[in-house]
Amino acid sequence: MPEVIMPKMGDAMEEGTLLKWLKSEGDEVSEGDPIAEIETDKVTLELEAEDAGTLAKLYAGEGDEVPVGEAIAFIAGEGEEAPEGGGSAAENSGGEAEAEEGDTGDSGDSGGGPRATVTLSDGDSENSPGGEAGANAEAGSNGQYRASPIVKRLARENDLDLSRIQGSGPAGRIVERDVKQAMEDGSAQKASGGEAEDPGSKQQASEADAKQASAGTPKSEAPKPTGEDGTEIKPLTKMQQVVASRMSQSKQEVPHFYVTVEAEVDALMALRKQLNSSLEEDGVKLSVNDFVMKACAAGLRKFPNLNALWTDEGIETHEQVDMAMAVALDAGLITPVVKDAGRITLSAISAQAKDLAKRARDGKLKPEEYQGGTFTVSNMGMFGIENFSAIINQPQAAIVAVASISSRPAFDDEGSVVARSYMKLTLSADHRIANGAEGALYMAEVKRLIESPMNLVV
Amino acid sequence: MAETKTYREALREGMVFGMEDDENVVLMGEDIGVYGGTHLITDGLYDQYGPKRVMDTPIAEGGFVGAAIGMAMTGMRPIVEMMTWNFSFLASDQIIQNAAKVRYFSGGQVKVPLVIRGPNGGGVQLSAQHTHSLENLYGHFPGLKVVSPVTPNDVKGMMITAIRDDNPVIFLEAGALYGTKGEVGEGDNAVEFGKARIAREGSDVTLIAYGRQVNLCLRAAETLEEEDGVSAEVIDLRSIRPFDEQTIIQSVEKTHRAVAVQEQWKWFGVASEVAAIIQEHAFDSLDAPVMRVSGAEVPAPYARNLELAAFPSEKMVANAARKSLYIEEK
Repeated sequence: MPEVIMPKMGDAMEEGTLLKWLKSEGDEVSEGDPIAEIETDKVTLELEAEDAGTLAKLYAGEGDEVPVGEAIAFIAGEGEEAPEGGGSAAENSGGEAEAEEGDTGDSGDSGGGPRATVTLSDGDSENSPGGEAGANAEAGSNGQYRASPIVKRLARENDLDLSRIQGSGPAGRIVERDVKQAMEDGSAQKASGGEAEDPGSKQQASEADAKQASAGTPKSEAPKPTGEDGTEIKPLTKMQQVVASRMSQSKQEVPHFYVTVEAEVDALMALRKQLNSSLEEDGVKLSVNDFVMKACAAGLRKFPNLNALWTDEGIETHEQVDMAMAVALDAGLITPVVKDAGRITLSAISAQAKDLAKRARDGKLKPEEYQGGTFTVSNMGMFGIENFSAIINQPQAAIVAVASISSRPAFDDEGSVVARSYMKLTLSADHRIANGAEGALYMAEVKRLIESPMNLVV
Repeated sequence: MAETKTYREALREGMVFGMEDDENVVLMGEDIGVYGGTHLITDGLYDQYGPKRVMDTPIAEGGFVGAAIGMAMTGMRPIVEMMTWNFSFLASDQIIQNAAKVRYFSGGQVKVPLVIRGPNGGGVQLSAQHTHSLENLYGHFPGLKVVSPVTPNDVKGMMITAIRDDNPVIFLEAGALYGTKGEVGEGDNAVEFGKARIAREGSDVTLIAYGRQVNLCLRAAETLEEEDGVSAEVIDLRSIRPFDEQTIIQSVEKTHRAVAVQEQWKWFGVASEVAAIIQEHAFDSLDAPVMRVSGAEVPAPYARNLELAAFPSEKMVANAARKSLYIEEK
């Protein structure tokens, strides 16, 4: 069945927003034709048709947020007809009938029409584990469940995760007695609720944590707005939500330690000038950051613990350095990745970095281009910052914060006062993965490479 | 001091209280004088007050209700008997077009202090032209007050309030309960309109009714207590318009479940209004959809067994409550 489904474009992606249909119902499409623009928490992408035929049915409307794996359209081959109201709706007919009965609690979602079908359906039977219709399937993979209004209120007030409660009402509706039972045994308490004392619920608490983080909501309880004159509420964009939750999580969970070095960059600046003038014809212009990224990547060869990821099975060290670079956008922060930065040439790093940064600002990065980094460099030199320390980009082990270059008087070998340029670099590392000495030795190596920049071009 | 009296006696006592209080209070209706009333509500009053205050009328509802409206507009306070509320259809133009609207039409200058009373609903095998419940019909029209007392104490107290009211009051008596007994307050026990009565306290489900269905709900509540350990609260609305939303909302906020019971047909009935009000104001307290128990969608049958089958039963109420509690029906 050639359904067009909401693709999963990142590990954390749970749903995407259908920004715009590029084709209309009834249009002919060929394989590879862009048919819609999809916005995820990080990027905007064009979704291409994987089948040829007639775009027979659009299940999602513009602006709809659609869970990953849900059908958003149906492409019909010759003589084929779109299934009524969405591909998977028929498989869930039990649920549909219940909706017609008038479950006021859910009527907003299930009042019929194409949108409702999309939210109700559970994706292909192939996609939903077990694939069984009915109560369990409803409460299943995409977090859909039925609950009475009082249950929803109790969940709000007591910070309960309803997706963990098995409903005993009609069609699996979660009713008051279910939620009371769950409150008694603490099985649905979210971590931030703070009421679950039961040690057995720790595992669940961390799951809830992870779930909340991936849902992108900052979970600490923020104060209510003052509502005073001259104030304005700006709701968080998806990207801001993700950045906020990642950063909070990292600062809360990862024991950071910091190591700062100061590198003299006169030789680097001279070499850069020389290279840029000789490469001008090729259109290459190396930035200071390109050298720093190369130095950081090259330095990691001897420090596998810093080119590593914290995983649930242990520390995963990487031979290849996939260097993420922090790019500030109006909408937030993104870290596109220069692949294999330890081995490729400076000019290759430069070209990739420039392209990635530009497309990051245009919101045109593909998910694989901002995922999978093993180490990050964050450069604020262009802002005249003397020194700063960065927050580790989880699950990576470390990040280097690059400050601006400044000149000051120094003594040369003869004892004369000369002008020299310096730059401060600060490593933030995960103390669970690396120790302070490792960090210090690594930064010394980076300093050495920056101060002897010829090492970076051979 | 409260004394045990029948619903009929209490109702008569309420009217007598009004007649003693104000000589403009007069009674009108078919056979209410010499004969004492078809349901013996006015028994003895003709002898006591004479033909000027207890008036027999021709069988012409439109005429005598119209006359009563005119009397009320000019200073009298008539109490008109409908032999049964079904017959009020003949006077409905007078009631709806004039009684309900004159005060509004006149910018408040002319009041219509009129009580129209009589047995409403069924239960005594009087078949389709004598049996139906009309509270939703009259409750629909602004300008009319509609009340439906079920206890002897309330029927007296609400009659006193109705007589004192400067607006037309549709006074719906529980005809099948004229002979039932209860304690009735002495003297002026006026019962305010628009205040529901909690007939039984409970914590698990709220049963909402009025008129004789209240008694049904009380029995169902006993059954639920005994058989299921369920504590049902029973609310007697007493007054259809004005309507006591707060008592219902507060109860549902406590119990999280509601069953609205009415003898009239299901569609467009008072129970629908109850359900709507609950979902508007107590939505976040609901654990189950509000259930409705109503009469069968047929003209009321004459045969005893069919009549019983056409009206809500204790079992239907108990099962609706069980359904809202997600426990097995019996």
